[in-house]
Amino acid sequence: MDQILQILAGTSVVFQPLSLLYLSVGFFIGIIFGALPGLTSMLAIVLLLPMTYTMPMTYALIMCMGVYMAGIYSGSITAITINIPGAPSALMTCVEGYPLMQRGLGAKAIGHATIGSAIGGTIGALLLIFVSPLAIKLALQIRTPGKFSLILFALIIIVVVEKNKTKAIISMAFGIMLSTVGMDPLKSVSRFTFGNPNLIEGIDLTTLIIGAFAISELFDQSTVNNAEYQKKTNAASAYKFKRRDFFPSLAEMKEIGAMTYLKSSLTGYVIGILPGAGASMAAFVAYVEAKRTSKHPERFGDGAMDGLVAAETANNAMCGGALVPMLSLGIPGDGTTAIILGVLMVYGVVPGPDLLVKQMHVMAPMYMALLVAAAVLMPLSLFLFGPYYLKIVKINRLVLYSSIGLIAILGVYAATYSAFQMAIALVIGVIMYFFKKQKYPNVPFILAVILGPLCEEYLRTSLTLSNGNPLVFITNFDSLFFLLLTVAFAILLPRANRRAELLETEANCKTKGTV
Amino acid sequence: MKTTNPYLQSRVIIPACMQIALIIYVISALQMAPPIVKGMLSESSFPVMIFLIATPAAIKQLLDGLKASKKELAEAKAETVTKKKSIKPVLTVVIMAAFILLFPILGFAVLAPLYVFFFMLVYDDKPQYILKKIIYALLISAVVYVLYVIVFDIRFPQIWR
Amino acid sequence: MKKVLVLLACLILASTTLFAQGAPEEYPSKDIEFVISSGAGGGTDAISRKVSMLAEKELGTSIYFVNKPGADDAVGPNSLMGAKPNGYFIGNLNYGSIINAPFTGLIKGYDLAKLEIFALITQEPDAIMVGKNSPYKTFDALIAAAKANPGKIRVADQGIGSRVNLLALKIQELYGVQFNMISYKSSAPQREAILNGEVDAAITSLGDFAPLLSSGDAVGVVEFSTKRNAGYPEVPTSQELGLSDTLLSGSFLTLAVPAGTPAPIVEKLAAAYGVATNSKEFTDWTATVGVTPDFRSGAELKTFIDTKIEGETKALQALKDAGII
Repeated sequence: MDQILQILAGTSVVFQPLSLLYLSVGFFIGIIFGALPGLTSMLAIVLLLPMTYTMPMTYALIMCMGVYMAGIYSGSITAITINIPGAPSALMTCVEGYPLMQRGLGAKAIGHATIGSAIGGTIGALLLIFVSPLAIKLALQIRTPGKFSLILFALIIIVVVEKNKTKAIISMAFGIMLSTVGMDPLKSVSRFTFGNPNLIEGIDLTTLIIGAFAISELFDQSTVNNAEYQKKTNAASAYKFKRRDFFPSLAEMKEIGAMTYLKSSLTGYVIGILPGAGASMAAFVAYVEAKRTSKHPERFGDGAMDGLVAAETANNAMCGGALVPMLSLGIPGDGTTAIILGVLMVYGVVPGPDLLVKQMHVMAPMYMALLVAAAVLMPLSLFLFGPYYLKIVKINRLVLYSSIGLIAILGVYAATYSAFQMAIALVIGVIMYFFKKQKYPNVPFILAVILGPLCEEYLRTSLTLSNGNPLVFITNFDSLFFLLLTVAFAILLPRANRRAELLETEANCKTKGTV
Repeated sequence: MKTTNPYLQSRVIIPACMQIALIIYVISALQMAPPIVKGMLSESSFPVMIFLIATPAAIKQLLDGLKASKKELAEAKAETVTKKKSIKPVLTVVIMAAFILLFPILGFAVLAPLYVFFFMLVYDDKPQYILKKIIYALLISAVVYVLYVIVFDIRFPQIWR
Repeated sequence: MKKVLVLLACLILASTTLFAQGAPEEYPSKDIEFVISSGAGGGTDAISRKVSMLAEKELGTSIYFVNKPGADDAVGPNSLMGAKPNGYFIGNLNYGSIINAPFTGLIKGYDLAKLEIFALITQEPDAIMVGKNSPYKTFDALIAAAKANPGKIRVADQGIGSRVNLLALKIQELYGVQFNMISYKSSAPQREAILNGEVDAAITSLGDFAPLLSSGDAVGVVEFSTKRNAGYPEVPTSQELGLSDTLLSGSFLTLAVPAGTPAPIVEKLAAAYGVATNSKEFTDWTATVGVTPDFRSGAELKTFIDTKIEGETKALQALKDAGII
């Protein structure tokens, strides 16, 4: 109860003018990055990471929350208007939203997507606020062997939820290999420096993140043909919508049904808690469920408003869910929370129960920021900027990408003051570019970079506790629990996945058909 | 018709390189210490585990890649490979590498506008609107300078320091 | 088009030379770079920034910070060794940079002779802490328990070869006992281990355990110092308990410039930091984080450093010879 009160006290911090400014700036950046195909909210936070070095942590986190919420929501804008998902999580929105756009209902579709996102985001944030104190109490009981098993659980689940599991393992192994360069965590020896003195300090987290997410993306985007891109966006901006077109009527929302909103929110939240399963999966599962229970499933795939709403509600509800394990256990729920965890690490804050017990005054505003972003900023931004949403895609690509190119590479310098680390970021960017071309997933990579060193540390500490006896992982209750959980999920998830994959390929074909 | 060797494609090269990297990694780990010293895990134990887990995955991926290439060869549809590849990613890498190499010497004020300018040049479909690009380059550099140096107090190398 | 480019480049170059004209006058005439040997957010980082903020006022210039963490706090000092000795580059050295780094030789060419250490700012003695329900609330009880159950008493340290690990090994040798030493990466997991009862005792500074000590979840058994800690006056010192002086241990923060920096500049810096360290603002602040301001410079500082290096290196060498590290 105590902690809930503290969180409410965080409200006052969020409503200070400076905090609101940071939150709005973050939200605005999130909208832009989320809406533009190829750019994601994750990349936005990656670029902000080195800048947050000199900012008070509370503001940095508030800003991240704005980017996070907005970035996932705004992927729906381009999905609806030009049939390209601005963020991967908006794929299902494409399927339902673009047919609506073609029928001249684009504004209404954006409106429904926004309101759905706002409802989902709000429910997710509220659940985060009320559930996390409980999660922390439980987390405090976990001893080192339990922590190891928990990380093992996370790492295995990340692989299991990916489509191509061998590629996920390779991507993860690459991340762990890079993270082991430098000093051993528990002993004064250096590893894998190959005689290069520059490598003794290891590869900085910022270097890894910017290389893998920002720089590799820049290579990828360089091949896009500007003229073709412009043609597509021009078609979208030919539509003219009035402000009131954007707001859905209550009757329409009733038709979609309160159950759809509630069920999708809960689905999104729970999927968010699972490590590695991010917004895309949340949107997809909620969509399938909406289709199953819909009164008119035949409309799905050709502009079903309830399908669009289910997907958008779920992917924003995911945000609150993904933060629960990140804050209470230090296990990020998706790629973006992994980077936010990186922000915390930059401030020397060790995630886990210790963080929330001691630094609640720092964390509380972050919770409220997430809530405000969903409940207030989302509808507000629709009201203020709705008609301009169709123009976001018209931002000059050259200016945008060259700015990102400069900010990204300087970001590595700002974080490390080292040209050597900049060079490493470039090399990692090149490697990850090839990985991406061959569809190696990058979420296992980033989670491995962050969790790998902890996994090793906990493993070795656990075994010193038991004098080298590996049975310690079974005799400790918490550890045994997570191991059993791992086994259960490893068996159940692939089954659920196989069914989902079939449906998804179907949906993919449909999107391609209409482009 | 000259086409790239179907076996020399990234679907084969990536797992092969990964396997080589893993082998170097594990050898370098074992040179430091045996995985278990006096009944306790040493600094090389975790890398050895990673090697043991990733090796089967890399080999499976390698075999899959080879199989796919073989199939392609059998179907004699090699012309699909000849799809013209853009050199733009390579140029982007070159620009970045040049920036990183020269940054400590020439500093922000000289290098940033040039970098942004060439970056835009590569990103554009063809060399056009040069003056516009120069103006943009100067503006972007100025904005980034204000952001990093003035707002966030981060010092970059400059030619006069 | 090329002409425009060339012109542009010339313009930029011209403007840069203009900036470069400012002739050096009295020190300091420009900003000073401070290389911090640890990452942003840690204790070393906080102390360095706080004291420099106060020293800025004395020097009348601004000091900006560059964090270069890694390799037992040796990466930062190593980069300082290569900086120009003009007084515009300073940095901090702590226990790891002075004792461990030269001993392990991780970085080639790392040599303390390339630096001039000009001030000691703070000291932070190590201590033994136990949980509130622990049966070993005194040093004697802990040693007796370790004697009765060899290898059973679990003590949390910060990694093999770390300062606190060294201290635990010294205690083992001195009293002929055997602990089960558990390595944690930093003080945060040490705190958690005490909270959930995973270990029997932890060794690190009292300041690191501040939240647990004030909430009563942890109890300080002994601080390895000569004077009681102002923040935690209830914890006895090792000297009071009559323990050997060889057990005196703790981290400290010193400041250095590259060797060859002109003497007047070094004196000016030392004086500024002296005023800053002894200021009321700084002493008030350090009490809240559990470190002790202890400004020393000149010959006094040299003796301090030399005895530290001699004593600790001897201990490390003994352990290395015994094959423990």
